[in-house]
Amino acid sequence: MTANGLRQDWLQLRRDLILHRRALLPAALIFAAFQVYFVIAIQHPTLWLVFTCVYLSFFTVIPPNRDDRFGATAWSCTLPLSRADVVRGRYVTGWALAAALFVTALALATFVPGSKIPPAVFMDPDRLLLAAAVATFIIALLLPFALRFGFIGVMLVAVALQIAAALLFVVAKITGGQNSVEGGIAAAFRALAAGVAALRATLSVPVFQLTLLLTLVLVNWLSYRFSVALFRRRDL
Amino acid sequence: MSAEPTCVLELDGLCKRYPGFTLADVSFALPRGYIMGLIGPNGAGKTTTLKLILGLLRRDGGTIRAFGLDPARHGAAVRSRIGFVHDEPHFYRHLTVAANAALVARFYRTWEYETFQRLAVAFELPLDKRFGALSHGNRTKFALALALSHRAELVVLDEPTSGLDPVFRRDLLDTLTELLQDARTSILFSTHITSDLERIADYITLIQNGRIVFSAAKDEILERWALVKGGRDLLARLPRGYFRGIHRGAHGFEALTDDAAAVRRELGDSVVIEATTLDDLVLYTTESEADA
Amino acid sequence: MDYALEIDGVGKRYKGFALSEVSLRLPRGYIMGLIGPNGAGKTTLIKLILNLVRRDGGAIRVFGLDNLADEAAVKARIGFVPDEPRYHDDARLGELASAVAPFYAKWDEGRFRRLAGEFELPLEKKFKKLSHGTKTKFALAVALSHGAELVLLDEPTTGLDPVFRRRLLDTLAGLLQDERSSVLFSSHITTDLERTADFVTFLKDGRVVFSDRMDRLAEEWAVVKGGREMLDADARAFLQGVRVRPHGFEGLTSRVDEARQRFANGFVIERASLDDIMVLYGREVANDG
Repeated sequence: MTANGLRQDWLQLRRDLILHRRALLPAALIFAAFQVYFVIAIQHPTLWLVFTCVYLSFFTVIPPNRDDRFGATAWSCTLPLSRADVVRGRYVTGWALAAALFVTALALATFVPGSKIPPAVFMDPDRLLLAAAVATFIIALLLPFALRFGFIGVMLVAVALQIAAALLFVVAKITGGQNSVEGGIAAAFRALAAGVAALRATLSVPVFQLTLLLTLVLVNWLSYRFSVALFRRRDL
Repeated sequence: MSAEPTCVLELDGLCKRYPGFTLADVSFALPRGYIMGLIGPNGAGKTTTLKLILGLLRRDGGTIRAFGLDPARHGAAVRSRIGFVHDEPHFYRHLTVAANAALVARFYRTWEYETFQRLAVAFELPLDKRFGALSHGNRTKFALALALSHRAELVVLDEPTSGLDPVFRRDLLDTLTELLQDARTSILFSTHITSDLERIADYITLIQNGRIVFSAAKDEILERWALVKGGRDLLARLPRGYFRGIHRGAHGFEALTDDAAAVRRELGDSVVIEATTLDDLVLYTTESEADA
Repeated sequence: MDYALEIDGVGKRYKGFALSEVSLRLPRGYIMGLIGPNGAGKTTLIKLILNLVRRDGGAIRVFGLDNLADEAAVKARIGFVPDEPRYHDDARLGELASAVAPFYAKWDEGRFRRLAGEFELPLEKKFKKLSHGTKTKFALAVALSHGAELVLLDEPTTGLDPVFRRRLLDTLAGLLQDERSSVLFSSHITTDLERTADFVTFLKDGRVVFSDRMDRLAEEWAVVKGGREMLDADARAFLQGVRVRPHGFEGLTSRVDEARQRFANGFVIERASLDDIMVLYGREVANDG
């Protein structure tokens, strides 16, 4: 994390904003419009949070996908940047976009009349960590493949997730019997939530939250290193 | 009907007007059995002229005779005797080479399947490959094979070789030269790669800004036109219009003359006279007198 | 000896094609031309210098720096013009330039504006609306505006008319006046190379046939011409490429002096142009034509 590295990340963010704004702005407006509807229609704040974070996480692949579509990825690699620098820039820009959209969503949730999302939601560290976890899960999965395989990579991840979900259904059906597919999945999630709660109870709350935060950072870092390894192999 | 004209192509005072550009007073003739090269910078009017010859555009003035016919009135007849090759051949990408050929064949009464087969073998064209999967060079070869398979009397090529390597270009030139051996086929070849024309062309026509600068036998052109180099003070003493194109350098000038003999007589030792290449001719006539 | 570029035993494998054992050296302050048939590996070689593709072996040094270990530092000093410039279709030229300018410590905005004016670049227009020639001119303007000491160009003159081609070559030659800048460009138009290049590297089937000074080529390579009946097995074995035409044969040799002795009577021996070398080298005799 050098000063030069930070400067390069900023320049890459700036570059992406200049060159992708014609796609990002309309997409952001659609997101905002949807939020206006969503914050009024939704009942459960946590569900809103999760869904919103899934949605905005996909924005992170817009810049690399557009670059690939125009054949401009090679151009990034002719700038005074190493492959690792280019990848890091993608993560920085991706998270910056996600953060900006999150703040927008918060603002809309707070100020749109009839919003069911109480401001208390955003003061809650647990909920914020959940948001970060959801975003991390998606971004950490998407970016390595988007960077290595372009748009196909994103499709690959989407298909893989669908196959995983289908397998989950099948497994749950086999182990749980006829009517307990949903029951099986709900039970799995309950077990996960119970495990997390138990952990939370064992450690003190701040320690738990800090540990979770550090884990998310670690996951992002691992995803970054994985992306670098994949991107270095890519012939442009 | 009178005997076939000796010139396969005759343009006289041809004009075509566009909002930002005008083709004016274009006149030249291509005798049967010869190759004419068409040169000039981008936007000079080469492609427009070719399209007028093919009857694809309507002219605003002057006459064109291709095989003695007017392309505006007998467009189909004219086009059936012309083979046209250009650098972005539009064929069906998802069909094979052979299928594309079969489609094209139906347009020509004089189609010769054996000739096409022979050329496909000679050009090493993969007949069963999808057209979209062919390399650039192979696409051009395919277009050429088609153009040569219906006994065309005039083969027109519009920038067919940009991006193709010298090996293929040389083969192409040889193929074209062989075509002329029957004294029946003529070739009109528009290209930026003037070294190719220096190799095989009999006639050269230079177009600048919609006007013909010259149209004459290549050997004659390369004899009459020359590059003249001398000192700036000498240039100051010569009348305006003495040279056809001037490039002023730091210490002297380089200019083009269309009368090398006269310059040699009049200026003798005070200048250096060198042979031009076709490239020089395009270059120096592009830079107008005004900014020289 | 100060080298701008040193390529040592570099290899790259693809399915169906491989670049192997490629070596060349370009001293600072000179121009090297890269020639070879389509598919010989010219573009791949240029991409290897920029690490756009991963090499499978060998070493590449630019100004003495390893092109992988010091990737960013090396790229800051290289200007690149690809054969098919591709940028964001919906971006204006001016935006593209301003997006990357700050990456270069030595970016010279004044120079970029001047070049844009000289090349008549419509900076307000969107990239997708430009012709191939204009796109190339834009890439060139950017490549020349950040103090690059090594300029790499891949087929820069394809599709350019003679006027701009000459201007491009003059611009490249002009770059060398500071005696620090060097140029490597690949081209199919061998007359352009003969005009401008000091060194030439000939690639064929992924290997270097030769990499040498231009003037030395004139001394060593020649074309032998004669009647078809004069082409016997001995001659074929001696020549490094032969083409048989209806009217006679043309053969290539890199051993001029020996050739003059062997082909004394009835043959014509001429200096080989780059074009001749490219067309004839490795050519087998089947009966052409």
